[in-house]
Amino acid sequence: MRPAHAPAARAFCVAFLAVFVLLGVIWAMDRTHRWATPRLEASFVPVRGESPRRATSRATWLMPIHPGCPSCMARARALSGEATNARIVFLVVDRSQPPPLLALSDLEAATIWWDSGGVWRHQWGHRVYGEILRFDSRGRYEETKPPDSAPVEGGEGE
Amino acid sequence: MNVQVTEDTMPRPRSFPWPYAAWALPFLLLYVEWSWWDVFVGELETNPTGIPMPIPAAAALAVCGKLLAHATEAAFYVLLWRARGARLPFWRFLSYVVAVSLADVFSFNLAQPFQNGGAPAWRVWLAGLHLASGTPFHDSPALRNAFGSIGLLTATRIAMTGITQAKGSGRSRFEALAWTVGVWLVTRIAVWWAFDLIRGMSPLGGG
Repeated sequence: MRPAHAPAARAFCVAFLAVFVLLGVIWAMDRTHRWATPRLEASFVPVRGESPRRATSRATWLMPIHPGCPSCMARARALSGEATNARIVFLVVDRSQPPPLLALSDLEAATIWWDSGGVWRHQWGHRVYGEILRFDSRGRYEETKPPDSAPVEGGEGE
Repeated sequence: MNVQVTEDTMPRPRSFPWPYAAWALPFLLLYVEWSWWDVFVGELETNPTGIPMPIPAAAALAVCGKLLAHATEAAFYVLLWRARGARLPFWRFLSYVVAVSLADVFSFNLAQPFQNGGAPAWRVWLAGLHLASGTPFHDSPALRNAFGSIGLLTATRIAMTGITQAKGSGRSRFEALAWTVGVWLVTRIAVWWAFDLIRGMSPLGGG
């Protein structure tokens, strides 16, 4: 003997389980997907400063930013003031249109590129703004530092 | 014989009192919500999010979210028991869920001064394994958020939630506890997966 509301409640429980299983499938697909190793793509569109096609003898620190994200823009401002030998590049991501220069005006003396093709998200599989992708002087990918780590070794959080 | 049983004719539990006397209940709930607000203020002061609003207001918003989460949890168990042919009174159970969440508040307050490690063993056992050094929780923020809270206080909260459901639904403690632990596990695994999906290949710090 089951109460009248039981079928609806059972349907809810089945839906809950289905969502859980679906989440698991999406997670497994995401984790097993073969993402590309980050590299300094020639397809990045220069917004300010050096072109991505231009060779450099310095290491490169690439920080993905989005003008609509206050915390990552604050981190970008902090990074642009850091004293480091590396070339600092801000990569504007997740925008289908070129970034508004006004929103990037306080990133002084920095190179800014625009990821017009969504490479950072869709090919590399990265999703957190404000992280720092490090490349050596030959442009080879080394590592990614999380957003809450200190950008320069020896600093707070390292 | 096909007998349709409505909510009115569902078997009622023997006795499922409110957690406190009616006059004390608003004060208890206010105290719990204020405790959560205090926790969120501490968290936001320690880990600024960049949200463009004053910390007390952001914490108040977080408390509303917490209350909504408690209501969702209570509604979920009400539906779960209804699917299993038992009745669990929503508001009464919700008041227990809110009251029992004080265990989490206590856990947060115990963990707060030791976010960077160095917590004594008794705090680790009480507030959660995420405080212990040299565990997988330090390498994986997703795992830490999902299962780092495992400790005596979390176990107590789960047990209290299960026992309350047994009392409210009239079912056995074993059955209620088994469902509660199962649901807890499923939701924690979902948190783990969701965290991984949010971050993708990006590393997350905080360890």
